[in-house]
Amino acid sequence: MKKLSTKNSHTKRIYFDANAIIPIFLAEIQTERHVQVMRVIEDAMNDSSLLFVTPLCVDEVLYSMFRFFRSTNTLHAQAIDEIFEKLSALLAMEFFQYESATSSVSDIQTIHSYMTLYNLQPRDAFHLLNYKKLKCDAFFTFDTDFDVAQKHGAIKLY
Amino acid sequence: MKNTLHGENRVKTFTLGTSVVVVLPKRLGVKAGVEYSVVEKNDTIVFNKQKQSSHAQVLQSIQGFAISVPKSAPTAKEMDGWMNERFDEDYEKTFNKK
Repeated sequence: MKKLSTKNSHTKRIYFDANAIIPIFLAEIQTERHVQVMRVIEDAMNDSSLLFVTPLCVDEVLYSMFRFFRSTNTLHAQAIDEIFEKLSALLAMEFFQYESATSSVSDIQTIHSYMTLYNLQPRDAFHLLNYKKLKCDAFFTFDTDFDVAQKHGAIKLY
Repeated sequence: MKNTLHGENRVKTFTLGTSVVVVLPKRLGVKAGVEYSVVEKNDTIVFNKQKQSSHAQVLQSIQGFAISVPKSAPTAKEMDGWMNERFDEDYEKTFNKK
């Protein structure tokens, strides 16, 4: 059996967007995405890659799930507890790396430049900034808003 | 022992020798994963990270994170749009978004 990553500098680093986490919880209705996500996770296990998840991503997952519960009239304390528990357990797995990039004031201007250069909204510009600061090799998302950034060579989509 | 949920006592992680141990309530139905063996204790499942299990078991354990959803659930595309709703048309025009 292959051993998982030892988290060294040679490990392939894949940045996970929130929409790549949500299908894990909503496998019943996001079937196609779920299959793709599971394939990426399996690949990560096979080649000892690390899947990076940031606090920004977790915020988006929680926001989306709470709103999902509201929209389906299933928002209650037990559902919220379940998501917190499962998200914690998921990100505790060896191939996930829950990490926050170091920030500085100059980042604000960088965010502005990403927004104007690549037509990104602030939140997505922060994802791009985190992706670069965490020195990730690929960005896994279902969001087509990053296509312009990829076209300019600013990001490599998985 | 460290609680991963503030003010809660549901998910706990702690270090035991060279192992990281994750304790979950049984009702979550999560099974063993990579490098995790399972010891069941009353209403909890203890994941011992030191021992390894197969990739298939890990994938199976991740499948267990799926929640039950009603038929009226929104589509993935609808949910994608939720993140962008904070920004109105004026914003889009300002940044020449297409």
